[in-house]
Amino acid sequence: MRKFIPLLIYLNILWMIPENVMPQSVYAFSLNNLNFGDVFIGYSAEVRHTDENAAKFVFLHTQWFRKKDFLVTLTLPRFLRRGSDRIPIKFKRRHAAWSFRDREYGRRRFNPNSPLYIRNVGFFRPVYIWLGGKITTSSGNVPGIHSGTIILTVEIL
Amino acid sequence: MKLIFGFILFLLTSAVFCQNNVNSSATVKVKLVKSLKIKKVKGDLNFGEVILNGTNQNLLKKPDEGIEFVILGHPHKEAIVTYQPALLFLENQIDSKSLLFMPAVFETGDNIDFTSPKSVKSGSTVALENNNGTGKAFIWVGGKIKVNSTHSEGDYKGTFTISVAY
Repeated sequence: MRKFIPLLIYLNILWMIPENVMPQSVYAFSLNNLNFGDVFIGYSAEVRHTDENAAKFVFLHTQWFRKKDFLVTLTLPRFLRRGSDRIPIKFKRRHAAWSFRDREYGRRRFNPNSPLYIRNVGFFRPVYIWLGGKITTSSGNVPGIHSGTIILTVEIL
Repeated sequence: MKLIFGFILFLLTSAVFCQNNVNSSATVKVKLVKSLKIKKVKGDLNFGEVILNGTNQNLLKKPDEGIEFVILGHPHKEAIVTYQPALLFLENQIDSKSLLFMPAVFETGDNIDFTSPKSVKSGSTVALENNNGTGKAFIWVGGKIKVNSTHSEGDYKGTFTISVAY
């Protein structure tokens, strides 16, 4: 039995290295921006999560041989701005979805205004998030590019 | 022994600094575009009275003597201009003969006067030049009508339609 002790120590160190020596154990990337394209002043525009212009994120964790629970929070803009001019933007349940696979089938919708819990995610298993939205412009809006920022926060519980 | 102990201690304590949350951001973007309008500025396409003298005649109206339109839209965008020849029918009389109005369309950019005109064919694009934040292009419509010796006397009337789209 004693002769297995060095092996056990070695395996234990291998287990610990990825999450300890590598300081980062969860990675998130933005794969696509949310783009409403050209919109006529006075009209509204909507992008669904299935639209190719929807925002797209992916995240994964690197804690070897472990399943982790995630808390996903989206910090959403209330307005798209160009100087002092602003356009209200709304995010509803029909605009947001997540899936373990990068495809339309099997996506699960969620309310982007509330935290999302995703449980039992295996290591190196990507989780995809898609987000659309709806804007309503008014005749007083000025022409040009209006923008805002979506921030995705992923936390291992 | 101290080295091994120190290494193990490092492995154990470094877990405290392990990052368990991460942020990623995406941009939301929209480009607001002014919708297109076309308005008549001045003029008409009235060819006046023509004396039928038993021969074929070509009635001509120069673009600067015809109708001037202005296209209003988003600065630096291009608008597609489409139009077709118009048929003029004899008013209040049953007559199968009609006159064909062949339009001649020109543009002068954001210049309200008829200077340096460029011909605009149907289906071609016109650039909307920036004029105090509004895209503008002035369009001039003239044309010609061929009157045959066999046409009846009377008032001929028709509708000429010009359309613009992004």
